[in-house]
Amino acid sequence: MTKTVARGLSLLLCGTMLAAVPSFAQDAQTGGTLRVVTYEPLCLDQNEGSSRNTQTALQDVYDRLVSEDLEGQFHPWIASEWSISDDGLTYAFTIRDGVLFHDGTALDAEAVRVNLQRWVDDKNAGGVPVESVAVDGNVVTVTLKSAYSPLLHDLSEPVLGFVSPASIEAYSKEDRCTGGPDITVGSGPFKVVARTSGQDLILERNDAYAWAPENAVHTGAAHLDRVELRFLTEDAVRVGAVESDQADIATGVPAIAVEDVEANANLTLLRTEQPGIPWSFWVNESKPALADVKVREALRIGVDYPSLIEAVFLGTATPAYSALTPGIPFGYDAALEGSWSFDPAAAAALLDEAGWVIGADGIREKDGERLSIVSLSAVNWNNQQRELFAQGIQAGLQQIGVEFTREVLDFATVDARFKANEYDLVDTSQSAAEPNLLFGAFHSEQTWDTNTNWGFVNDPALDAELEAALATTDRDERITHYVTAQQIIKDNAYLIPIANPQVLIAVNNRVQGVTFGTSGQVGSYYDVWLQQ
Amino acid sequence: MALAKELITRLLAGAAVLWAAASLAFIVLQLLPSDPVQVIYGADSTVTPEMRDRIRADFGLDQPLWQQYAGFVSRTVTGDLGTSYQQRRTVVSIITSELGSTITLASLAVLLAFSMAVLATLATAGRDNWLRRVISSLELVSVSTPAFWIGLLLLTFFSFQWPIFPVVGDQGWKSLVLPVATLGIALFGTLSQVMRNEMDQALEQPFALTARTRGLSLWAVRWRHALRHALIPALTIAAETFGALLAGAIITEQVFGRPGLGRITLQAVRNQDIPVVLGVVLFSAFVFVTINIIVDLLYRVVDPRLRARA
Repeated sequence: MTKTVARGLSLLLCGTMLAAVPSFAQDAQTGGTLRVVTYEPLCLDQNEGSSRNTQTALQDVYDRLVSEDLEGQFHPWIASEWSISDDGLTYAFTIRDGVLFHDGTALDAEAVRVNLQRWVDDKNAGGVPVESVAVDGNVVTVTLKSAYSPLLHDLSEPVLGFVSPASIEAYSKEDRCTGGPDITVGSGPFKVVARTSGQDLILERNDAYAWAPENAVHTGAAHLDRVELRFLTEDAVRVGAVESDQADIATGVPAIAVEDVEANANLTLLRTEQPGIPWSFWVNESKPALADVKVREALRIGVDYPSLIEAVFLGTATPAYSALTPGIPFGYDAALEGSWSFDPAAAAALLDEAGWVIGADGIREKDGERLSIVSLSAVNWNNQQRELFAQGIQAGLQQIGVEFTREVLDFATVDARFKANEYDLVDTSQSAAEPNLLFGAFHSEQTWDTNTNWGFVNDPALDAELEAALATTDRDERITHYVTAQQIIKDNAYLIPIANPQVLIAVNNRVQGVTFGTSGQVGSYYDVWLQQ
Repeated sequence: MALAKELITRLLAGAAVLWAAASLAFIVLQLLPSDPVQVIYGADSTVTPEMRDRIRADFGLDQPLWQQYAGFVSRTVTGDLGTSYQQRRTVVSIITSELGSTITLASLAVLLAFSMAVLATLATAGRDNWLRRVISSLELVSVSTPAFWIGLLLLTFFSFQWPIFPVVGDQGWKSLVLPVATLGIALFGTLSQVMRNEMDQALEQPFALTARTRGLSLWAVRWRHALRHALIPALTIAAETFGALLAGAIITEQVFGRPGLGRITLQAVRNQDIPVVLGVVLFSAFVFVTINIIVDLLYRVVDPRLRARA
């Protein structure tokens, strides 16, 4: 028996979305240019080089096989329907008729196969265990070597947007990476009309567009005539641009500008929780001191994290208690919220029990060893707030006799330190709209040579949950496994979650229908319109 | 003859400097504990061992170090600077496509700084009055204020507060005004201080008095005679100015979201895109050497005494 995804369900969800966003109640107006100040994509051919910035900038140029909503449900897009075999190894996608790339060539089953095969050949499918991609008529079949339940999610990500095979053949890697009109060819609601590297990317409406994802608000061509993506790296400059009405949308609003933006009558501040793993400490269990759960527990309750969050993040982050953020589409265990609180006396007692006694300089010692903990982070994972926050942690831990230092180094040095196992804690956050993120961060085989289990967590019970969640495509079953996994991680303090970061965008009030995508970045501009 | 001989010596020395710069950069970048594969794929990507091997082979990273160095040097001689890890474009095409924008910015900024410095020098050298004190203070502010801050201040007033100049979209000369002013103001201080110092000394020389007794006005003495003396040290620091320009361009291009070499440099260093970093180092060394040769030739134009000696 195979499970076929019903179309009716998506229409129903579409209705609830309408109710949630009042601005949709008005009739959308057609026309206008949307000016966005944001970050620059590195390379316009996502198979060659991709980052969140690239994916967000190109999400309206390239269409994908399926569309994922904020609840983690999938809707038909370029695939009009699909079925998954019971063993979770075979995915058969029926490709919609009549879809055209911007260059007029057909986005048919063969074009889908070429794109997926390129992903497998060039990138080993980013670690997805793809065995083969085959085409038969208008059906594309993806066969896996082992069950991998996040496949639909991966296929819905902007990075797997379909590129015209004709443009792949006609242009060199170099040209495709630089990109431009006629080179950067997708089938999406907007097409590239101009590209100045380091400056901007100009998109224009694709009038032929008639294949919007089923969970979109409207059908047919997009409302906007043009979208101008202007690249400004400096936070202050982006905010200044939107405040002085030189732009309609600014992404990446810094916490410090929140008050200003909120006070501005012409602007609305939109915020969402970043889906993924909170800003946390991964705790290196291969270090004797940290192998003791009492010490890990003491680090968790020995610092007043909620007060620090209030003081440093100025309301743009919430205290984290789980290994997943509340922004994740499904699987977040809200029951863990508040499951511990700041208690320096209890933390000190735990350290006493673990045999760490206060030494001459106020730092605890055991067998002549000082309780000195080094946290490692990379420059590109860091920001001013985390820097400030770490000073607070240092002061807090000092109070319970723990010496804390945080080193922020360039990625190459951090990489080398990871390989040499020269760190006690790692502080970073991870972002993805898939709870399977936990597999890479905590499964015993996923240490730094292949993934990000920096803690060397090796817990058979946790492994079993993560493997089971990967093996089943049943959403409810997956949720159960991830909830258990979060509880195991919390009970053993394998991770010390600190804060759930928020994503902030400033939007001019004339812009209607701006949403967030599943990745936590600004969503598609397909349904967005300007009030004239 | 003597000139040709000197020129050849100069060119050979220049080539040696380039080779040294390239080798030093190569060594330093090798010493970084960097894993290019991780750099190529980015910090949050999962890299399977097979992918790792394939990438290493693609970029020639599986060869022994001396072979990588030999390959690097021989490619560089033929003008091939390799391919960017992150952008997958050749380094030569990255530099050439970004160069125009930076040259426009830098040359206008130098023009602005130089004009301001000459005016300030002519107006204040050899005098001790309120104007001199005001201009000296301005120079001091220019020298000690980071370009980053100057840029943000200019934007805050002339773009955000009073929307005179745009920060969004390329609107021709209007988009150039604030970046050029930012970089120009940052350069002006040093240039002006050096030139006035030199002119002060020149005006105290006996020839200045002689010229005055010939009936020349004070302005004419400054303009025709003393300024030449002031230009020599200004030329000498021109090469240093080039360094300041590149550094200033990094900041200015970052703040104003302009394409250019500075932005590319920052991006490459931040992302450890080694081929691009090497390319920029080599290119900078090349420009540095060229400027020095040109400046030496210009000395002869500005200072007739050197021509007589040769």
